[in-house]
Amino acid sequence: MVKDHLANTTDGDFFDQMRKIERDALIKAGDKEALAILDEEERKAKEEAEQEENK
Amino acid sequence: MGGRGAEYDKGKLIDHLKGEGIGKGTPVPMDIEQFKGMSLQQIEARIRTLKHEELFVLDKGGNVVAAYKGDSNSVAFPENLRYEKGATVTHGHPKSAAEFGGTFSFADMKNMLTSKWTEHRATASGQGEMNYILKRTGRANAKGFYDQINRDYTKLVSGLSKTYDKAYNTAKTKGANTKAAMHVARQSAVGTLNQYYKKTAGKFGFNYVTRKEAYEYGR
Repeated sequence: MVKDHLANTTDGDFFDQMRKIERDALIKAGDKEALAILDEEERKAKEEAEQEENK
Repeated sequence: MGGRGAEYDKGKLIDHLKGEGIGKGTPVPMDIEQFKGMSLQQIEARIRTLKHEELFVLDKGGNVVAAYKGDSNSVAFPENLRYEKGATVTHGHPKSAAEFGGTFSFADMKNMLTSKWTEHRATASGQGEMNYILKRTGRANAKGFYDQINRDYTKLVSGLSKTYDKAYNTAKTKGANTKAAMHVARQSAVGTLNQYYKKTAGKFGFNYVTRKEAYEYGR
């Protein structure tokens, strides 16, 4: 790996921020079903990312 | 995304884009030998199937000259990549981000507008997903476009949230199930950014193109 303190990224925290916007909207709406779907999606995405990382 | 607030501070335009995508990763270069002879279309077909982001740099002749591996949210690249004059740079928006991956992020826009690249592309994963392409023309005013996004930044960010809310509630009212309503709301929210780029790019001498398949033009 190349250490580069001036590294840039493509998307930064954009997708995290979008997920936060979504979660905030659903919390505000008190939509428990939607929040459960979000939790499950995030759990699955994390699991898939870990699996790919370990390949 | 950076902080929110007024677009001007003491008469000076606030640079919301400055902090986008900075210092959050370490570039992980890939051995480009394995991509030798691959076309842009083949590279993007690869990117489309991944669960992590990858970024490829192609020279004017279409040869892969650098490639970097990222994670499910972004891919890091070294600062000097910005100075690759005439390069085509493409990267993926993986499936986990795909419903929010329907256009360029603010960091993507900043990267293009502060670089010497000719073309920046994002490839969203999933069936029927698009390629998003921003190409510099001979009359490109990158600084003007950069400043315009900064002027509109607060409105754009708050628009993402408002659009999500409205689209979600409308879908639910019309009887959509929760998953479908979320899908519509996500697409609508990033759709506002997509529309903004489409509307604004031409004013500053950039072509903003969306295509359903890997697409090569004007190279």
